[in-house]
Amino acid sequence: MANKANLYDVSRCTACRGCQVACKDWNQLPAVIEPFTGSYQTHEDTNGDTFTIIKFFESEDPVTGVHWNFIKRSCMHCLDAECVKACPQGAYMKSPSGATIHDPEKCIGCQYCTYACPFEIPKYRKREDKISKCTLCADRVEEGLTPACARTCPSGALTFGDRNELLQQAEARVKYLRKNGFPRATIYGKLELGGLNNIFVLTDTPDKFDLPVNPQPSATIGFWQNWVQPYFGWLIPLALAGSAMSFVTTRLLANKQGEHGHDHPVEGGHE
Amino acid sequence: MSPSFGRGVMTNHIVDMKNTDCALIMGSNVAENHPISMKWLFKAKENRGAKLIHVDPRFTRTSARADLYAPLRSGTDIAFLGGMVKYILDNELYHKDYVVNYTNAAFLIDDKYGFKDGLFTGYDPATRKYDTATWDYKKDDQGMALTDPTLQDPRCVFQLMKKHYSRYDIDTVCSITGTPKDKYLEVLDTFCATGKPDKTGCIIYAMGITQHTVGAQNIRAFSIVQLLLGNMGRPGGGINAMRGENNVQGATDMALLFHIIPGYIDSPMNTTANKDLISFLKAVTPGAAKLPVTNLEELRAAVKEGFPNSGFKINTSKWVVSMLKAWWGEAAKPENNFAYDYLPKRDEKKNYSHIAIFEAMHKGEIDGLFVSGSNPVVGGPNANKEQEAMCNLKWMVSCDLWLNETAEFWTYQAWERPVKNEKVAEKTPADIQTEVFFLPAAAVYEKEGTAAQTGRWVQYRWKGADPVGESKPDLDIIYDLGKAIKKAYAGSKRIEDEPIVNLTWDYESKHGPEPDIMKVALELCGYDTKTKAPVEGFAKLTDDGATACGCWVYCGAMTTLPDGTVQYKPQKRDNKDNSKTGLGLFSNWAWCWPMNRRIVYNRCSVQPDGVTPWPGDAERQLVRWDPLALSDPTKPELLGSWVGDDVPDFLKPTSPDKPAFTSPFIMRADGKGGLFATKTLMKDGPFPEHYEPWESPTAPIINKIALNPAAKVWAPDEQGTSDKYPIIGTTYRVVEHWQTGALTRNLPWLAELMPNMIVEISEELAKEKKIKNGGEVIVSTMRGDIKALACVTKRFKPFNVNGKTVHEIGMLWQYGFKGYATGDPANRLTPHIGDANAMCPEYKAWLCDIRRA
Amino acid sequence: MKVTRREFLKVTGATAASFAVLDLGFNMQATAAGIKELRIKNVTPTPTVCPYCASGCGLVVYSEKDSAGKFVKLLSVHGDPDNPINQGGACAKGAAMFNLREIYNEATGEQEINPKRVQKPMYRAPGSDKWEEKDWDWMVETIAKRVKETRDKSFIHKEKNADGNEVIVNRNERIAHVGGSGLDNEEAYLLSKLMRSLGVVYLETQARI
Repeated sequence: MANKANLYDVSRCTACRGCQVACKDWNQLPAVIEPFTGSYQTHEDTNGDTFTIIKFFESEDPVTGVHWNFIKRSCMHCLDAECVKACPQGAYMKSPSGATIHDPEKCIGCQYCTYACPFEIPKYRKREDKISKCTLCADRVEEGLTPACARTCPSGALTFGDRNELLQQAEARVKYLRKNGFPRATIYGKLELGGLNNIFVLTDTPDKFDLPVNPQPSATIGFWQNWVQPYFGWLIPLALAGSAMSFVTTRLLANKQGEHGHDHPVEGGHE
Repeated sequence: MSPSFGRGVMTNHIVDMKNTDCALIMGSNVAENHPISMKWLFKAKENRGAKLIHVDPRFTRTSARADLYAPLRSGTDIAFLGGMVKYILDNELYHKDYVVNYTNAAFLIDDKYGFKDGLFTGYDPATRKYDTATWDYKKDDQGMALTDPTLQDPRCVFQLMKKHYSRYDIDTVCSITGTPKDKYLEVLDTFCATGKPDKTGCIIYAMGITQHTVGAQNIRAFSIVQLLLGNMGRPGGGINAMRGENNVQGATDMALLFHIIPGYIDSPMNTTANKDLISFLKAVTPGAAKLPVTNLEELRAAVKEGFPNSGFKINTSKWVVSMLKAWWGEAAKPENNFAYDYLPKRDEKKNYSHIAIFEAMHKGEIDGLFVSGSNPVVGGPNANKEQEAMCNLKWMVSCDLWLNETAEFWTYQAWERPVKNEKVAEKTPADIQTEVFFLPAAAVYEKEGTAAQTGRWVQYRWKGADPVGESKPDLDIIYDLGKAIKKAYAGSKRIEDEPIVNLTWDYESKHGPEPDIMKVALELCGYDTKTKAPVEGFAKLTDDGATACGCWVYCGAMTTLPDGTVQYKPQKRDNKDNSKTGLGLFSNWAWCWPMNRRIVYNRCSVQPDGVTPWPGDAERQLVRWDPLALSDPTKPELLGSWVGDDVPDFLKPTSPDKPAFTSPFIMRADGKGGLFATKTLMKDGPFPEHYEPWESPTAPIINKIALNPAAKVWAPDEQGTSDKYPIIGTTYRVVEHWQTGALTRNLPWLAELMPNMIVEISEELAKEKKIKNGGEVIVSTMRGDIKALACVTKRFKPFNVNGKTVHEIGMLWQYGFKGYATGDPANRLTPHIGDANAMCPEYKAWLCDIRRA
Repeated sequence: MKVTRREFLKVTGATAASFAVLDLGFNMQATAAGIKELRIKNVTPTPTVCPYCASGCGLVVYSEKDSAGKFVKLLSVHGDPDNPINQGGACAKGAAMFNLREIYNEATGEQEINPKRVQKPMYRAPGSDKWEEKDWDWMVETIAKRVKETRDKSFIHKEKNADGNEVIVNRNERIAHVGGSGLDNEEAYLLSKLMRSLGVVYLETQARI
């Protein structure tokens, strides 16, 4: 079956956050109420009960004035997904339409996927001691419905459909935007990591939206999954109980943060 | 809008925004407060190349998606728009044919009318009121207005307008509004381009326009701009008043307001002119006051004959009598003037608006208060005062889903304040002797009924879930309350109790004691008193008791289908667009008043000849005169009718030989769009003039008057001055919450999105006041203080007002101490002063100071 | 003439049933293992209109019913795809409509009635610092009694106006009403009628504020 994707056009997004709530409605997720810390943005990132969020970026240009950029973030549903490869339990799989889904029955909560993910999307849900994340509403899509976020988007920023068709739409849109005031408009998700099932039409370069410019699977993870895991996969649950794993994860985490922290400084921070 | 066009409604509708060439969004933050509008505005942008302009003190999510953003200081809209009027006139950008034929531009004005130093003729400073006698047309012996279609006569409206706005040059305007000149010019250029006959532009406004001491005049300024540019009554044009509550239009239609009775008829007063039915009808029917009629029969005959300066409201007697018949049934008879005496007559000298209610309550003049899904402790202006006023109540009935801040105004929590302030009362529950009755109401989808959305579409909502616990639909609650009150008065023979004893109140359903909503709907939409069949439209209402109709504008919403079944049209769900040119009228979806006209004043969408579309704009023509069509299928002898994709907002048989053929604004006595508001239409001037807000950081710039001279000052000692309070404060809503937040701060998912009360301040002011982003601040005014979290942002910038730097801060209107998301109500800061006409409180511009907590 | 609830509901049923079809955007056959079953399969949604801003977006309510057709719990509320205003869209507020009645508990993740909803009539006595639960009959009768006491004490039947003429005014200035813009038309109509029959002139809705 052809890949189905979400096309998200930032130039049509008004940050109403209908997607953020519709996701909770459909996926039966409780609210996670955290205090205001200086930005309209609800959480720093997605969390175990928040599969998608809108991020807010405020900036100012001496010529064009104030800008307020919004971007919807959730699982990218990479065509070649690191989490699928990394999970020691085989809890991840691809749905027939190309969504990356996670089976909580198999999950042991090791969070290895979180570190493997170039976008750090899978999140730990303490209540169940498991990982959770966006499924691109695979249950809806398999029945011919659109994902809850795309279905609710009032302003038409989100479109769900055949990935190839959406890429064509995205290209046309970028062409239009470049001619109409956004010379740096670009597509994101066409080629990144071999292609994503979340395609973005951006009005500016990806770094302005806190997206990794050239995302890469972690080298350490690569080593681990290509060499260690196939032979010693059984070690991981074992190691989880002991300190060896925490050594590994700490290492992986440290490595990862270093990588992100320098590559993508966000202009002006959130708002 | 009513003084300009005849009705105070959103003229177009949300889907129609896709037809615009340019949208001027001013005093509204549509992306946040009416998010679905953006869907249609984006379509206009993408399909028509439309431009979106946002004018607002603060850069919002609407600005983020606009093509052009221009800041303006809160409370300076008339200056901004007055400059636009001048720009249109100076550069001859107006739509000439439209202006000459469809507006009162050519009408000559009384020689005694004048304007000087910020005051119009007839002002009495002692009463702060105008005698509006000179604000009138020059008339001939027959009482018909004199005109000069060349627009050259110095006493014609066009020339007087030109003179009035000659002072609003670009530099003066920008010195008042603080708008950068280049941005202002860009706005003028972009929007005024819609004056070309093949272009239309719409204005979108909301409470950023109305909540000022000059609120109604702000809208008048829009009206003048839109009439000059020829944008009214056409797809993609109009003035889109974005209503804030899901059925505020309906509640207004039903007249839950002191100054009107259902269907926008002035409510009767204790005046001699309103003393009985015939006097009242003569007073409220335009052009009837001086008719030599002394009873209903004579009036009926005069109406049949027709009389000048009446417009469509000539039928008022039919609407009034049908309403009296609906309310008092058998007891409303010709012999007792259809029970006209039963209607309460307000004191002509008194104001009964929101502010007045709480001022009276504060003085102990009110004992009992009903609160229906409202939350004045959060949403009332000067909320500290309103909360204090409530302590004087003997009893209060609150009907809501939640124990909101108003229902709990007597709790310890309700009286907690961030700092001690001698002006604010300190109370404990023991001090408050008010008995409070809280009635739990069902949620919107736990019941059924209709709501009129902002574009007047009346849509049905079906019941999708059971009410929680013992909560009940409001309909059941009101019905039960009415029954209990009637029971309490049962058997009374006192004449003063007749309005209750004789009130028709029989809505019981067949299946149980609860009311049958269709019985209520039938009475509301009107029925034949003999057959009990629905009346098919307000043209069929009578003033002899043969019809009963609770609210004439809804007449026609219920109909008998050819197969004999009855249809409630708001339930219609045919979502095919009936417009041949794809205008998105959706005339078979639900029903809209009046008579399912989706775009009112649509006579303007065709040239004066009634046949030819505006040059280059055939696709946006809504109606036309068809000499071969029938206006009434039962009268084949009467050839010729107005027809079109939209229901003509025009009397169908009006043929080219009639003078009214080119008078599109049928609810106005003269049928023309009002550039000049005559006589009593406005209390504060026939043309909008800029005045400063009650609390302003600057002395008057364009004239010598600070505050709107006709605005009522309730409490002069509550006015703050710029030496103590140098910063402009304003309030607004965000997409994540709704109004006072009762219906959203109690929802965890929405509390998550906007968890705290915030104050937005510029980086410049934050630096000056050493305020940290996310840190706690105290905001203070003459009325009180609140604590909130600071949101330091690039989206607020200081204004340059007449050479002086002025800061403005903004805060959410929607917080209180109850729910999952809590914070101090911003309205503890806002003043008790309102617009001179509509009495909307000035929530949007006042003075304050801010400091780190 | 017959205006019965049943007849109108018949029409509703017919239109509502069509959603299930219109909501389908794609035609897919295979269902992969590990994907949850669609929660709203074979559920007929009920159309309503959003209670927040006045845009008038349509919403559809999906609820679970028992075999006797009795309401059990909500499943989901989202935009009405047939409504021409929003064509299925819903902003954060509209999309949160489920929470108006039910929530998912933050600690347990379990579905429950929104604990902030009031399920019984409540009464606060003068000077008291707490609410007491009361039954509906007591509440409604007591309110009627208060209304009558206040009205009878302060009712103005006739008065001399500014011109010195005596006019019947049937007015009562000691009872006020605020609110009602969140009500349905039928409710607002009855309220307007009831209040005016009592002589209430301090009558306001949120149109002004």
